[in-house]
Amino acid sequence: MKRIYLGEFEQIVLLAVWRLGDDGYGVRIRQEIESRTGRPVTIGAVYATLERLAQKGCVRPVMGEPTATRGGRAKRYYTITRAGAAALEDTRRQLARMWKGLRREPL
Amino acid sequence: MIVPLHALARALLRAALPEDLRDAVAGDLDDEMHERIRAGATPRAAMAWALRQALGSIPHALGLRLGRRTTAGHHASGGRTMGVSQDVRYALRTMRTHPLVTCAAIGTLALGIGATTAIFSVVHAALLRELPFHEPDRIVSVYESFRSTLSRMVANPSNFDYWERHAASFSRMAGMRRMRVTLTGAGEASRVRLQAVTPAFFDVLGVSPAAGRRLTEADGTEPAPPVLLSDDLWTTRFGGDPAITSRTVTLDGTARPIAGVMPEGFRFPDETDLWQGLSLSADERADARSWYLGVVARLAPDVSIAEAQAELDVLARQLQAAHPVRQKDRGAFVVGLHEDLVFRVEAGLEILQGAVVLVLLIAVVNIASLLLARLSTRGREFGIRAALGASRARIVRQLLTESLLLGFAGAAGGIVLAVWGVRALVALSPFQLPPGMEPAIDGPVLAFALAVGVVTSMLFGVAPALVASRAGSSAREESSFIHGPNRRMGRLRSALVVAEVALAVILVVGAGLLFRSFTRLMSQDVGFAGERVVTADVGLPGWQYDTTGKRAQFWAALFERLQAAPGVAAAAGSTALPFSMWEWQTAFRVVGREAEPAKGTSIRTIHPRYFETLGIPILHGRGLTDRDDARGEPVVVVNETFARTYLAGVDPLGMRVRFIREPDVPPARIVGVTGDTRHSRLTEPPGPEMYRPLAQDPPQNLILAVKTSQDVDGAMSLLRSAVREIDRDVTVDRLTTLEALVAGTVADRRFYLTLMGFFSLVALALALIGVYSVMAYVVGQRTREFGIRMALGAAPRQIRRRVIGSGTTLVVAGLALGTGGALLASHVLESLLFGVAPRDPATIAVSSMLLGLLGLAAVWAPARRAGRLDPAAALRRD
Repeated sequence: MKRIYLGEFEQIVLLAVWRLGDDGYGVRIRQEIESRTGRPVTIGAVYATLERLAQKGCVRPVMGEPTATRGGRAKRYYTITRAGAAALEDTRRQLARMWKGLRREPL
Repeated sequence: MIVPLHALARALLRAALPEDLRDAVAGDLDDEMHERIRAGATPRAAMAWALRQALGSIPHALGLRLGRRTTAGHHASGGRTMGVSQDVRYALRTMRTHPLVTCAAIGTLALGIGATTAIFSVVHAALLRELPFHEPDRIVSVYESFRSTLSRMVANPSNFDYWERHAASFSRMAGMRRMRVTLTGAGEASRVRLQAVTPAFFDVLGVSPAAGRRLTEADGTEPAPPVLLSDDLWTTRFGGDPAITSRTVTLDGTARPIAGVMPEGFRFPDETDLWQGLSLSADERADARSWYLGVVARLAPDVSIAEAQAELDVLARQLQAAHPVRQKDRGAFVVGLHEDLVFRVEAGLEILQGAVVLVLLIAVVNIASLLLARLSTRGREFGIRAALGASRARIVRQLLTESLLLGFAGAAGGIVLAVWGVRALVALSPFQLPPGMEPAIDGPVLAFALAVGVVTSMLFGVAPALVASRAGSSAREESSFIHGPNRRMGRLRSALVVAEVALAVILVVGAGLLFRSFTRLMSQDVGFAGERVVTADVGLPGWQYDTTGKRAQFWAALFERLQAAPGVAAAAGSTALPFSMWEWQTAFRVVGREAEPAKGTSIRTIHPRYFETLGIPILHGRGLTDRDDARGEPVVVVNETFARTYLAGVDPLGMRVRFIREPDVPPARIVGVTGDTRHSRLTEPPGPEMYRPLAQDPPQNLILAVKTSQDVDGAMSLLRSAVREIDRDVTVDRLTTLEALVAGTVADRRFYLTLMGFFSLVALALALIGVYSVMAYVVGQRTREFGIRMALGAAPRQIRRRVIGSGTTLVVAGLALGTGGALLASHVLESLLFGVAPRDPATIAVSSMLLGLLGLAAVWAPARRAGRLDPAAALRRD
C-alpha cells in the first residue's frame, strides 16, 4: 500500500473524525478539536482539510438526511477509512521513534 | 451593522466554496449558531461568532476550490493541489509580512470597488431589475405623439377607444385617469391621489388585490364608485382593519364603499393611494379635444414593441384619413413600461457609471504600481526561486494568486463600503424610484462586486507577474534580477503614473464643468425674492365651496387672519407659484386685434399683495389692489415678456384682452407691467405671463406664500393653524419654503455634481499618491547615484532639480494626455450642462493647473529628501 503522509492539522482532524464515529459532521468535528486542543478553528479550515483527507482516501464523505433546524440543508458526515486509521498509526509510530530517548530540558 | 455584514460574509463564503460543500457548511454554521443561542449566548453574539467563522473560512474555501480545479483531470495524487494551496498560504504570509503595502492595496481597491458597486446597485435597481409585475417586459406604456413638436403626452379618450378596438398587438389595454381628491373622516383631512382605471388595468399588470375584489366596468358608473386602497393607506388611516371591505372611505365628502386593498408596495402608477373603476361613456369616447388618459397595455404573445409601434402608426394614418384636421400631426408612441419609468434617471446614471469606472481604473493602476515597487524588493526571493528551479509559470502563478487574494479582500471591503454608499446614494438621490425598485446589496450586486474584484486583480496582477517572470528566466543565467529589470520596471511604473494623472484630469474636468454649470444656474436671476417665504398648497373641498362667493369669502378670511398674525411681513397666494410645478395656460385675443389668431400665455390668479410678498417689481402702471374685486372692472397685470412679445410698439396700459374660454365675461384691462420671473426651471427663460386678481376669479386651490420675519418652522405651523381655525375640512399640503421649491428643481444637478465631485476627489488623491510613491521610490533607488554625484561636487539644488525634472515630465505628460482625453470625452456631459460648453477652455485650464500644482507638490517632498542626502551615508548604502 502506498504510504500516506499526514500533516499536523490533518492528523488532528482525522483523530477527531475517528473519535466521533457516526456523529462526525462539521459542527461536531470543529467543536471536538476546539475543546480538546483549545485552539480556535474555523469551519472552513475543517472542511478544507476533510476534503484533502477524502482525496487521500483517509475519510469517506456521506450525505445525511436534510433536517428542519438547518433550514432543510443536509449534513455531510465523514467516517474514517481503513487507510486513514492505518496512516494515523503509521504517523504515530514514526513520531514515537523520533521521540525515543528525548526529554525536554530548559536550554 | 452586524446583520448585513453577517449576511455578506455568508454570501461570500458560499460563493468561494465548491458547490457540493455549500449546503453542508451553511447548515453547520446555522446549527452551531442556534446551539450557541440555546446555550445562553445572545443572538447578536452568536451572529458575531458566525461572522468571524465565515470570514476566517473564506481563504480556506478558496484554497480548496483552487486545489480542486487544478487537479480536475489529474489523478488524485495531490501534487499540484499542494502547489496551489501552498501558493495561497504563501501569498497570505507575504501579505502579512508587508502589512502596509497590503493595507494600502486593499484599501485602494475597496474604495474603487465600493464606489463601483454602489453605483452598480443603483443601475441594477433602476435599469436591470424587473418590475414587480407579471411578465413585466411584456407591459408597455402608450402615449400620443405630436410630430410637429416631437412631444408625447397622455392620450385622448377617442384615440384610446380607437386603439382599444382595433389594435391587435395588445392582449389587453387599460386607461388610467389621475385625480386628486380630499380624504376626510380618517385622521387629518388631506389630498390623496386617486386613479380611475379601466378593468383591464389588473390584467395588464397581472396584479390582483391582496384583499377584496378587482374593480369592474360597472363600478365606474356607480354614483359612489367603490375604491381599492393602497396597503399604505390601509395601514396608516385604517389601522390595517381586517374587516376593511365592510367600511367606507369619505372622498370629497362622499362615502365610498371599499372594494379591497392592493398588495403591499403596489402604488402604480406613480404614488397612487386609491383606485376606482373607470368606465368611459359614449360621450367621453367621442371626445377628441381632451387629453387625460394614461395608457398601459400588455403585448400579445410574440408581438414585439416595434411591431406594436408599426401597427399604431397604421392606425394613426387611418385616423388622419378620417379626421384630417383634428388628427393632423398626431400619432402614437409605444415604449416599454420599464424604460418609461426610469428614462429620467438613465442619462445621468450612465455618466456616473463612466466616472466610477475611471476611479476604479485609477485604483487598479495605483495598485499595479504599488505591486511593481514591492516586486523590486522581492527581487532576491524570485531570483532564488528561479535558481532553485521554479518555472516561469510557477512564479507567475504565485504572483497572480497574490493578486487574486488582494482582489477578494478588496471586493469584501468594497461591499462593506457599498452598503454605506448605497444608503448615502438613496439619501442624496432626488429621484423617486418605483416601490420595490430601491437599490439594495443583493445577490446579483454581490456577484458583481466579486467579479470586479477578480477582473481588477488580473489587471493589476498581470504587469508585475510578467516583469517578474522575465526577470526570473534571466536570473538563472546571470542572476541579474536585482539590478537588471529595474529600468524596465521603472519605465512601466512611469507609464502607469502618466495614465493615472491623465484619468484624474478627465474626472476633475468633468466635475469642474458640472460645478461651473451649477454655479451659473444658481446665479440666474429668478425675478423674485424667495428668502423667508413659506408656501403651502391649500385646497377647498369642492362640495362645500361650490360658489365663487363662498370661495372668495374663505380666502378673504384666511388672508385677513394671516396678515394680522405676529411675525408675518406679507401674505399672498397664487394659483401657480413659481417653481411649484403648477402652471396654468390660457388663450386670449387683444381687443381691437380680433383678426389675429388667439395667443397663449401663462396665467395666475393672485392675491393683491403677491408682488409685494415676492418682491416682484412693478415696472409701469400699478399692481393689483383690494378694490379689484367682483364689483370692479376686470383687470389684469402682465409681465415684461408679455408686453414685449404681444404688444410691441404700443403702450400696454389700457389695452384690453378677452379670454377665449370666457366669451361672456367683459374683457380685462391691462393696468400694470411687472418684471419677469422664472416659471418652472432655472434653465428656461421667462415666458409671457398674466396675473388676475383673486376676488375676480376666486379659485378652489391656492398656493400660499407667506413672508415671515421670524423663523420658518413657526410660520409653517401658523399657516396650518390659520387654515384649520377657519375650516377643518380645508387641506394643507406640501408645506415648504419657496427656496426649497427652487432648489428642488436643481436637485438632480446637485446630486450629479456631488457624486462627480466626490469621485474626482478620490481620483485626485489616488493620482497624487501614485505620483508621490513613484518619485519616492525613484529617489530610494538612486540614492547611491546621488551620493556619488554629490561626492563629485554636485550641489543639493542640482540633485533636487534632477528629481523635480523627471517628476514634472511625468505629471506634464499625464496632463497633456488627460486634457486630450477630456476634450474627447466631455461631450457626454452635454445634457447636464447649462451655460458652459463641454470644452470650456477656462474649466479645462483651471483643472489642469490645479492638478499640475498638486502633482508638483507630490514631487517636491521626495526631491527635497534627495537634496538633503548625506553623500557619505548614501555611498555606504547597499
